[in-house]
Amino acid sequence: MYLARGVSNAIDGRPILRDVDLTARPGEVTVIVGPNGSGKTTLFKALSGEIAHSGAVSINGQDASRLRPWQAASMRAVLPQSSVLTFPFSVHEVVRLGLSGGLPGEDSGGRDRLPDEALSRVDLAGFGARSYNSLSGGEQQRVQLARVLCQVWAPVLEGKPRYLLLDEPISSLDVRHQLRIMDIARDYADAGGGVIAILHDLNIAAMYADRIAMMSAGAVVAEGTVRDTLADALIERVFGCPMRVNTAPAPGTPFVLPQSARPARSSAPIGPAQRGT
Amino acid sequence: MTVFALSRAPTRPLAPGDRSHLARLTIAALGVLLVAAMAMSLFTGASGVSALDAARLWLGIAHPDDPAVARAGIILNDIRLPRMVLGVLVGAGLAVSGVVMQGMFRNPLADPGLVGVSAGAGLGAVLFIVLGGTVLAPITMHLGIYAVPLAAFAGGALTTIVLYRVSTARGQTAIATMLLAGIAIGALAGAVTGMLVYVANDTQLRDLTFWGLGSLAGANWTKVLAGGPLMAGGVLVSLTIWRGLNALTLGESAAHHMGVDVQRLKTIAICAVAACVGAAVAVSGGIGFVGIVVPHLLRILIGPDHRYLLAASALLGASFLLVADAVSRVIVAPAELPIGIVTATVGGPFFLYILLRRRNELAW
Repeated sequence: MYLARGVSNAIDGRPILRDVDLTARPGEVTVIVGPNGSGKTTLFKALSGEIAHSGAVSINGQDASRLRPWQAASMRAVLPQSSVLTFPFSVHEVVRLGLSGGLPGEDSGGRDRLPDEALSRVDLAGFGARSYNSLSGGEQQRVQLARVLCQVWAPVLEGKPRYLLLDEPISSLDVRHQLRIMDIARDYADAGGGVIAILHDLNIAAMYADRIAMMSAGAVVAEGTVRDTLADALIERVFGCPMRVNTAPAPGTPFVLPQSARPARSSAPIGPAQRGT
Repeated sequence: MTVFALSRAPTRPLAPGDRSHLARLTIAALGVLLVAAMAMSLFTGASGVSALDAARLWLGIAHPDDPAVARAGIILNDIRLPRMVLGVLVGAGLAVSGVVMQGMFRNPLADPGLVGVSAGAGLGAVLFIVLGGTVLAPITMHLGIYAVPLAAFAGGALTTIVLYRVSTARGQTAIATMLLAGIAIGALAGAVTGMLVYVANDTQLRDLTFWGLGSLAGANWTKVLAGGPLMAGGVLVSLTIWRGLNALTLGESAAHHMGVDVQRLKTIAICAVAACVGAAVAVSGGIGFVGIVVPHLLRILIGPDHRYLLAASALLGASFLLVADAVSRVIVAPAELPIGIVTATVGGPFFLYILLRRRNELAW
């Protein structure tokens, strides 16, 4: 269990997080959604131990603030929004960096093969020898996910679940790879690990989340299953724009259709005939 | 569920993009190169003492009363040998401190000479060269031959800390800020050094001039003893922090997430750099560009993985300095060119070349 209890913090006296509670259970994908500036990334940084905060964060019952960096690294891995590298690493070498931080599994037999396996998992098989800096933004994001996967490859280690913390993991990906990456998150949770992800796409959240925490102005305003949290009125209030939630025919998951707040455009073409009217 | 099990299939010898095999081969080759460079350093020079003389002397073949052998003995044992040892230590120390600084600042242009660390170390050294006999005499008495290297170490550490504080905000180092801060710190250290030179007496002044250009000419066993432990220690400590430096290439937060105690790593890195640069500056003056040329060449060849880059840089840095020293001894024989001039002649154009190649990537 990855827990945040009463987490608050302020930057220059301005409160960013207000008394936030979050529970991420192993076996589940927990998705954090919310408009820009609602405190998602700050909460994420509190969870990953990057910033000072009041309240408590615990991983599998251990107080996160008392864990040494390497202890925390063997319990959770963190995917940042973007990673810029100044040195000429090959893709393989970047993925391999994940091995030196964490503990991939209980035995180290397949360690050497792991970077390759992680790369094919993110649909980048054969990219090992490419220069990292020559890749597109989306490809770099997938390489970083492969690195993060190497760090905590086994979702359960010595009987204890481990966690993937993903900060907007699909923001620069095409549709095919958005699904591919979220499938990995789903598999990780199904295998007994835990996943906490910040997402902007409410429909992807609806497809993959077990629980959704909706944030607004530094607080979690709603927390629960997809059907509990993705409701017209709530989304409209939090995101400040009209939304319609419906149910997709085949899988039966809810989907969210944004509605423009502008008055509907007249269907008549705008042409010379309308001049001077 | 087996999706995240580790595969038990036999290990493929080399994954594509894995340069560790190449790196190991390179390190072995550089080891051979260093042995050759050490031999060359011992057997080149104005006095014409050759490998044959050395063999006769060290293997005890020659008659001990032979005056030529006695002369060769002095030249080899008291002049060339300490000079070679010092060259190895200074070259390895400067190259490794370049790698560590570049890793710490995540910036291939961070070189102790360019960003004022050498100037700070120089200030510490000059302080004790000029005032060591008078105002600072009580400290000199306690530290003995270690006074100048330790003062240089302190000066180097102080400038590195100031540089880091100025140019790094929220875990990100701005390249332009770092270089500009380095210029300012270097200028300030230079100004204070200038004031000290102003109050120096004639003998000290002569020492300072030669020392400032950078040279191994004054090498003797006392210098090896005074600076050697700091440089050797700095290099060895640097070799142990490769994991942390690797993680740091992804940024400070990522390094923290990967289990690195970033604060501790930075403290170790700063101490190692200051030890290498401080001692190198104290015994040989301002020898520039070793810390930027050597790591850059090796990154092109074996990649930026610090596991191999640190050791390879130590070996190539030592060879590079020995060759540069040999050139400086031969090119205007029987006189001698300060080695700093040789390394700057190679390093200056090389630095410009890096800038030209990277102009598009370094958006600042």
